[in-house]
Amino acid sequence: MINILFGIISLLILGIVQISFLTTWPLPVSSLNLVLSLVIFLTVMINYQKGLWWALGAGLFLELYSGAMFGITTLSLIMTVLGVNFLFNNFFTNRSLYSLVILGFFGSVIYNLLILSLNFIGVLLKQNVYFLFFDFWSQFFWQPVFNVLVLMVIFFAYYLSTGRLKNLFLFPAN
Amino acid sequence: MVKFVRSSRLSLVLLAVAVLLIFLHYLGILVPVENLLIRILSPIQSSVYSAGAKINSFYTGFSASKDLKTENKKLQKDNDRLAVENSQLKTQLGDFQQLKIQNDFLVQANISAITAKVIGKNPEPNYQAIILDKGSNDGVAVDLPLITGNGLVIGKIFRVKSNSSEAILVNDSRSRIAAMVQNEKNSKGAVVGEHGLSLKIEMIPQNEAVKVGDIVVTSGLEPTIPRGLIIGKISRLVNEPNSFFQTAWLQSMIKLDDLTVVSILKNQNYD
Repeated sequence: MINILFGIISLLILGIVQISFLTTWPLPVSSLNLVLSLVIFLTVMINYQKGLWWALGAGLFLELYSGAMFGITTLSLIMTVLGVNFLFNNFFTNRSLYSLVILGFFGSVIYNLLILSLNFIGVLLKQNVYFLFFDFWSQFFWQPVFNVLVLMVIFFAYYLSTGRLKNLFLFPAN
Repeated sequence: MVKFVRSSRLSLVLLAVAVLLIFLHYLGILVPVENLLIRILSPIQSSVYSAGAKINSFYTGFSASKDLKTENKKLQKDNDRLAVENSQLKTQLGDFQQLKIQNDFLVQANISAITAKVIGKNPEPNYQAIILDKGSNDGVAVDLPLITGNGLVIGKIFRVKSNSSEAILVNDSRSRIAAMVQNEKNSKGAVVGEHGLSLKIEMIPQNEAVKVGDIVVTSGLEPTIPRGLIIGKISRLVNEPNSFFQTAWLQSMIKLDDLTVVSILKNQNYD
C-alpha cells in the first residue's frame, strides 16, 4: 500500500515537473519527455509490469493537460511500453546501458510515431484535435537524444545508489 | 511461459482500463475527478512553473549576456580596427594636405624640390634633428634647405646617406640661417636656435628699426637657400644699450614636432 502511494506521489511529481517545469525551457530542451524516459527505464531495467502501470498512470495524468484528443497520450505510452518490451525480449540479451540507450532512442521514436498517427486518426474521425503538432527535428531527433541522456543519468544514479551496476551487465534478459 | 502469459494478461487488462477511462472521460463521468485533481495540483504547478521560468530567465539572461559579451568584444575589435584605419587615413590626409600646399608653393615659386617623409628623429635629447627617407641617391646634399607648408623654412640637411638623410631643425642651437627682417631696411641677421625651444635672430644693427610682428625670411646670402622663405615672426625684442646689435625672438609659424612630410629644395642657381 505504501509502495502504491509512493508510486502515485512520484508519478504526480514527475508529471508536474514535465508539465510545469520542462515546458518553461526553450526548444530543444523542452522537447525532453521525462515521463517517457522513466517509463522506458522501468520497462527495460526494472520490470515490464511496473512500466505498464506507470504508462497508464502518467498517461492519464498528462491527458489532463494535453491539447490533443483525450486518450492519445495514455494509449501511446502503453503501446510504447509494449513495443519496447517486444524489442527487448527479441533483440537484446541483457539489461545493459547499451540496451537501455538503444531502446530509449527507439522507444522515443515509437512514442512520437504513435502520437502522430493517433492524432491523425483523430483528425480523420473529426474529433476536436486542438493541434496537430509536427516538428521532425524536435520529435524524432532532439527528444530521443535528450531522453537517452536522461536515461543514462537515471541509469547511473539508480545503479550507483543501489550498487548493482556491475551485476546488471551480466544479467540475462527476461 | 507463465510469466509471458501473465505479462500479456496485464497488458490487456491495462489497455482495457485505459480504454474504459477514455470512454468514461468522453461520457463526462471522469470530468469532476479531473477538475478536482487540477484544482488541487494547480498551486504546486504554479510554483514549479514560476521557478522554472525564473531559472530559464536567469539562464537566458546569462546566455544573452554571454552573447552580448561576445558581441561587445567583436565591436571593440572592430572599433580598434576602425580607429587605426581612421588614424592612418587622417595621417594620410594630413600628409596629402601638407604636400599639396608645398607643391602649390613650389610650382608658384618655380622651385624644384624633393619630397621626403619624416621617418624618425635623432634620439639624442640635445639634438633637434629629423631623419628623412631620401638620401644622396635621390639628389639630397648637405646644406640643402627644408621647407614645409607655404614655404616655411624648417631646417637644413646636415648628414646624408645613400637612402636617408638627417636635417637639423631651425630651433637647434647649432642651426645658423642667413635671414632678414621684412622691415623698411630689410635688416640682415642670422637666425639661430635656442636649445630646441625657440628661435632668435641676431646681428641686427642697433640703428635699424625692428618691431614685434615683423616677418623674418631667408636673406638669400647662402648659396643653397633661396631668398624670401619665411622663418618666423618677431615676438620679442631685446635692445641692450652697450651692444652693437639687437636680438629678436621669433615665433615659428608651424609646430616643428608635427612634421610628417617636407620638401628638400634642390641645389639650383638662385642668382
